[in-house]
Amino acid sequence: MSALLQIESLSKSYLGPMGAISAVDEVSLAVDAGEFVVVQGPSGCGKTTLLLAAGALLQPTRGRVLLKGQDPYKLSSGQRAAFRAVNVGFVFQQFHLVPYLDVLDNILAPTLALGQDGDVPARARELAERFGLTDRLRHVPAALSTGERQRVALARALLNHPKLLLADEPTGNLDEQNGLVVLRCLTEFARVGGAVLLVTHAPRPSDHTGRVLTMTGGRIR
Amino acid sequence: MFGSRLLRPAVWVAAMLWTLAAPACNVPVFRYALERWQADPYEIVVFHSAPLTAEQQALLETMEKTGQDRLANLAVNRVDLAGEMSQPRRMLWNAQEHPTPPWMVVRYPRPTGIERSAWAGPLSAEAVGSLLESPARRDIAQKLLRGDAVVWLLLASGDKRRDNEAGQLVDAEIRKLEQSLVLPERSPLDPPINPDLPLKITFSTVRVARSNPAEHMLVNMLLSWSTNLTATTEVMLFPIFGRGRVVPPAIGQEIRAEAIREMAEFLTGPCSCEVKAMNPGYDLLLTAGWDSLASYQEVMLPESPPLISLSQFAATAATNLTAPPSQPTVSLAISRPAPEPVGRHHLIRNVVVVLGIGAVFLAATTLVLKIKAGRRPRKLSFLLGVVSASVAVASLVAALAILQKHDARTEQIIAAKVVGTRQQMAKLEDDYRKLMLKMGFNVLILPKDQNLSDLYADDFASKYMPEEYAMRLARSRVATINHILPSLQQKVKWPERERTVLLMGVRGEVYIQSAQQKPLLEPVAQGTMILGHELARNFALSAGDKTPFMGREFTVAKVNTERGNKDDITVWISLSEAQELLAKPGLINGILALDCTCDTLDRLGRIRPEIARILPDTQIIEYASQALTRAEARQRAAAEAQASIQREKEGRDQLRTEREALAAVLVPVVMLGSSLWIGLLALANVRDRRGEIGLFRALGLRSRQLLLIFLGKAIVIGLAGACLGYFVGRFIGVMWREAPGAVPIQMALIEPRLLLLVLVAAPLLAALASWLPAVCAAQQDPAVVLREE
Repeated sequence: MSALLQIESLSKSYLGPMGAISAVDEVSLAVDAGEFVVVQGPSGCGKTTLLLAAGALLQPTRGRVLLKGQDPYKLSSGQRAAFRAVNVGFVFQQFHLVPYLDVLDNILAPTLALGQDGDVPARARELAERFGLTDRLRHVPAALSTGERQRVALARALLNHPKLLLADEPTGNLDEQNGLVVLRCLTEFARVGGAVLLVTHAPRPSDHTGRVLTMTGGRIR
Repeated sequence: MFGSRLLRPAVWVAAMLWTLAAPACNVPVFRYALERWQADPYEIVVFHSAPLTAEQQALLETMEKTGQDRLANLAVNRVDLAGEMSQPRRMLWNAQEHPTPPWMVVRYPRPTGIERSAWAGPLSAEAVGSLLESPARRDIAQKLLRGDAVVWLLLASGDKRRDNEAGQLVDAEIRKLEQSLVLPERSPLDPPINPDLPLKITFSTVRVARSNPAEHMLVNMLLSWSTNLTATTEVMLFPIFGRGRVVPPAIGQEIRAEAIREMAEFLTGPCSCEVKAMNPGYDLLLTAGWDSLASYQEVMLPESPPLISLSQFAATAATNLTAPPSQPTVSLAISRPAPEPVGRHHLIRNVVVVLGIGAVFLAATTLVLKIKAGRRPRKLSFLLGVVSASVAVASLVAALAILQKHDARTEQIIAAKVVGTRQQMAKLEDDYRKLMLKMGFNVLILPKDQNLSDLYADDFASKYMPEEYAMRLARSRVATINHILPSLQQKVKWPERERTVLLMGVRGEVYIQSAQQKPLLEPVAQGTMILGHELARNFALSAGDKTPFMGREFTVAKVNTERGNKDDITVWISLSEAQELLAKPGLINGILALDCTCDTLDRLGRIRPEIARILPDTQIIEYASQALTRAEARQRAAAEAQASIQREKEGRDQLRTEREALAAVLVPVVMLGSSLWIGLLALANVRDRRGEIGLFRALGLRSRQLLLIFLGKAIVIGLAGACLGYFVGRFIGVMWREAPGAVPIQMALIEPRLLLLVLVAAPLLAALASWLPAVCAAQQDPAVVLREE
């Protein structure tokens, strides 16, 4: 049985003023369904590039990415966007909430791409309740605490029942308590069959029991 | 059928009577009505109690002047409620519902006999403006002035399907009728028509919605005279012809091809030429230069000219009379249009407008920059985009509205100028005629066998012709001469005074039946005589004295002033007494006349053939100097008048060109500026929302969806700007006045085609302006954005 996410010899380099800069170099990685993998490494080691490439957002220079056995980079731009919308959820350190939308609409933001079927609003409310946001549904992000904002981002990422959750420093801006809430959520997601790839520069999360990979200089050791 | 529910019998009985009574005149009804039938005036009764404010006073004066200058068919009557009121006025006032003075009541023209008022309401600028003009009425007047036979006014019911069906039926039928109807064949005996306006059968339509506020006065005029009409909500068709004469309508199902054809045949058929009152319909209140179309000008002489004699006619005056008198030319010069203050103040105003717009942009930009330093100005950015689009639309709409108003104002001015010039021309003609009359009649009809050498030697004709010739001439409706004066003249001995005198028997003018002329002289009563100055002086006779003459006693009725010619030794008595004294019963030896107001210098070439047909046994001579003077003077005056109107037109055209040129630069510049501004706002918006764009792309939003979102926003901005800008621009245009005190020109706030145009163009323009920023947004790489954010 093949992994949910299969990264094979992935390299990504950027063109800088002094020539090509290799951000990720020959990285191979497999994440199975139900697995929570942490990639740990210092800033600038290529973690975010690896995450974006895994999330069908950044075309690799070499190598390939297979998600559910399909290479998203062989799809057209529109098809890839739809593929991403269905299969991948993102959680960012900066949350990336839409400032003029309230909590409920932020959770519902993915429907802008895929449209909205009948049970989506109910699911959005269910997620809001699960993350303790029920009484904050009509608040805009500016009125929320940092932890609440990240919980909104988590709810948004889970709205479309993604198979893969990609998290970039999701606890970087949170206090310990809120950080734990986020990690527990990700763990729960993996427990019920989802795959999580989390990149962080911090030490191994305390509650984490899965694989931890270390990345330095664009390579995983 | 037209007016069938209300007036069908009356309309058609009138038409029948009219047809039966019609003498031989083949000018079509519509054309005769246009040129000859004055529009009956509406009476505007204004009740007031307290002294009128300056603005109310100005409004009344505007209406009064419009009526007095014959720019519109109305007459204003002020009624002071504090003073004594006549019984009819009191009844009219009491009939008003909750009137608040000053209160204006618009009454149908008296000849219609309609007791109901066309409209009543408070005196206000809006009421006066809409009373004097409306877009549909202006359109109707323009169409009639350009020679359209009938303007078919479709008063819409509001039921689109029924209205469209009726409209299509009317359009189809009148197009067919234009091809099939034939104008009556003209007769030489027909009255003249204006040669500058082609005689043809052209129909046009005007559609008016009952609910159109700009046309409420017109709708009231059309419907208020009958409770049946006001209660009917069906579509109606009103034929309008002449100077706005409207026939009672065909209603609903009565709008049929046969009804339209019958009415069209009636109105394009031959007319009786005279009896307006026998024709169906009544006049609408219209502001238009109808008088410019009149093919004739009635000129009345203020006083009778002096009696003249053959001697005066035959005299070879040494005075050079070919030069036109100077006085009338001076009076015409006074009538030249004062140049309108154009150019500088318009330029200043426009510069101020442009600077104002620039200042608004600067202020807005500064505000944006300040706010950007704080929080995201998303709504403000949208608002500024709307304002920007609305400025572009408003500048376009206002420019068009102002030019439209300019054209309407030009028509007003030219119409007034034409009326004024015609009045001046009439006065000028009158002045010339009086001057010419002092020179005497200038055409002499003599027996054919009269030797002219003898005439010039003896001062009178030695051959005779029947007095009946003069009557025959008059009955024939001769066109090339007028003022027919039969005379019998002979040099005789005044036996009681032993003096040779010229005896002239006159019977007064024989009237030409078709001419409406005031006689040049009155007949000399039986038993009386008029004496030349020299005779009266020699014999010490004065008015009232009795004196014997050739065996009969005469009373001196008048002594002429000294003229320095043979008139001074002439005795005028009645023609019948002269015939008895000279034993020439029923005979005359000359018919004096004035030539026609021909526009050619070769008058004899036109007069002789016509007289020869009527009186073959006669010959005609003309006093060339007098005739030439008269014709040349008239032509010069006419040319001067025409030039005066032309100068006015050219001035207005030049002003329009200037305005159009300014608008041609200003409007595109404003539109370009607005577009750039919208584009910059969109670009700023894209930059502000970069993180958002990255997020949505990460969430699966496609480039095309993103492009549509940004273009959609631009379209919404364009639509909102179009609505706002249209009404702002139109309002500016509606409120625009070319000059203080000018007659207000009504203009509808909503011009559907223009509104539609801007509703399409503005979103398109905004979308074009936002195209590049939208493409930038769509092309953003979410990975780059997310990594950088």
